[in-house]
Amino acid sequence: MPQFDKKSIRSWSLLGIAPSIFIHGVADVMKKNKNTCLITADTGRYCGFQKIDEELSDRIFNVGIAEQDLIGVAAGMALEGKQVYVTTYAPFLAFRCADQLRHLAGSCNLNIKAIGTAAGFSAATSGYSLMAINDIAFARAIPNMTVLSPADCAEAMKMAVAIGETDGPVYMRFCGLNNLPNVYAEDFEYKIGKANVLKEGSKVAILATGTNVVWEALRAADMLRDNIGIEPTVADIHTIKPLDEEFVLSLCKDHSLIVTAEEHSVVGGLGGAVSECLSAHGAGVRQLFVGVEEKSCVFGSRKFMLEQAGLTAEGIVDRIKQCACRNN
Amino acid sequence: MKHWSSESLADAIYQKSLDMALGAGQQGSHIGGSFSCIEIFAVLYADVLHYSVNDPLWDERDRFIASKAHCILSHFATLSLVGYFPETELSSFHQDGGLLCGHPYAPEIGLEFSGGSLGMGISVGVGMALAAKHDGKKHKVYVLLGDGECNEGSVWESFMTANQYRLDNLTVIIDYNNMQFDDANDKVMTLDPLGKKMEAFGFAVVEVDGHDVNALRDVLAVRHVGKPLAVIAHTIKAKGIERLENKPESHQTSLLKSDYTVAMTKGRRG
Repeated sequence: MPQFDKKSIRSWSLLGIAPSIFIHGVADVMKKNKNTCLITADTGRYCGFQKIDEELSDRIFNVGIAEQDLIGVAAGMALEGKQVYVTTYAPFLAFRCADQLRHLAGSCNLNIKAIGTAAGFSAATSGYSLMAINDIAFARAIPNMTVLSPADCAEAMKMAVAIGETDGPVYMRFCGLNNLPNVYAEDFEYKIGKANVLKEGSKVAILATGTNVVWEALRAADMLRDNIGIEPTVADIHTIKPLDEEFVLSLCKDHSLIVTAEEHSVVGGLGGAVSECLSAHGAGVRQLFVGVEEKSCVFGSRKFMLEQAGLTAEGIVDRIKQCACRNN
Repeated sequence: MKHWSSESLADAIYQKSLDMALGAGQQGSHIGGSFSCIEIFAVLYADVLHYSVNDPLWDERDRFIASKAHCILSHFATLSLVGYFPETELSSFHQDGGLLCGHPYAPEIGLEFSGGSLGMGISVGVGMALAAKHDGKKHKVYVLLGDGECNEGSVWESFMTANQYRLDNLTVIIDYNNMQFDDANDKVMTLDPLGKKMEAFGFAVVEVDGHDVNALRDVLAVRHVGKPLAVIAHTIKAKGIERLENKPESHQTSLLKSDYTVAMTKGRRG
């Protein structure tokens, strides 16, 4: 894996998924593990495959625009002992081959690492068909599936490498393409299933996931501190399944409001996972879900859509203030 | 271990399958598609596949995927007869919690794939063939498809991939009984001309009487350098069960005692 110096991290965020996930992340795994293969459904150029070292090219396959075949072929290779990374756009990776993912990858517990690009609102100028805002809900319900959502390109690279150390199925979704903010400006500890606490505070906890959204949560925390004197806890929940339940439950002692923020439906995503955890343990802490509501039917750029959904620092702060007013 | 001829194995599979279908009682089983491919199983397991029941995960074994999966009744019977598990275990077919309930993924008893959702097994077979070719391994991959299963678009996606990667270590056998769940193929979704379609998708294609073990053995030995092979096996749904032969209701049904008695008297070839 390349050095995590400040300059490299900045450049990955500018250039986006191609260098961070594929040219360095997955390629690094392939160099170490001769059994690792990479298959795409005609989105290799989008992901920078042409810049992956030539020596790895005989382990890179393309099944064409055929997502069902993508997971089926990956399953056949996994049954032969291969570790198989597959990638295409998240809306198609989660749903065009949903049956293959649930049965072959999930119930058969195969070594398939599904990386969904253009997740969330990344391609929302193309309308609903290109939006992946229900993929976490689906992936979470698949047996054995680990579900991941990186906060920036540096974390995406750590994640792409870390999943190479696991045997089971993974669904990793990445929102945005390039020119993304850095949550992690320098090297940091990364462990699947372990929440990264970015700010320690009290009363309010903002649990965020995904590119831009975690960054906006950090900005929201600064605004709350400056405007109303609350210093919230902020955490990057990069692993949605298995959820870091120990961390979530630990918040109940000093926090009376837990906010979840995600570029995903408010049904079944990070908010749902946190809610299931809190209610199962009788935590009795109020939760605020910031995410995509069903009412939305306008389309536009990712920036516009994030604003519409309230997934900006200002939007998160407004929702927290409204919630506080209702409580008083 | 008993050495089977394909003829004697076909007869034994037939009898065991009748026992199991009767044993499944009123809940029934997938009879039609299980009885159409008995000779295909017999030839594969007696004459074609390289496998070791004492070492089911032997790396050099040929891989066999029953993509159509609705032949699990006669497939279980076959696996038991050739020695993967004791015949007494066949009584757990469709029994709650039994090894042979559902469509298990159980390579230790020769089941390389868990089917049931149609159109998946063929891409798994393509993936296996691709992995073998990449690794320079010499074993072959055989996939049994149903003709109704070919309604699934994913089947045709897989055919394109098989052609793209020139998977000449792959043989696809289509159990062409010309009947699916609701009705005859032509009444539901016309598949013909299947041979021409598969040729157009880059396969070497041979057609055969799917109940003629000698003809099946011959076509499965056809050389197909640089191309995957498609064997279109013309068969009869529920073959050997007089009341149900060539009837769509044979797809999932109960075997009556009278069906059983007639079948055991007349035998597979009537």
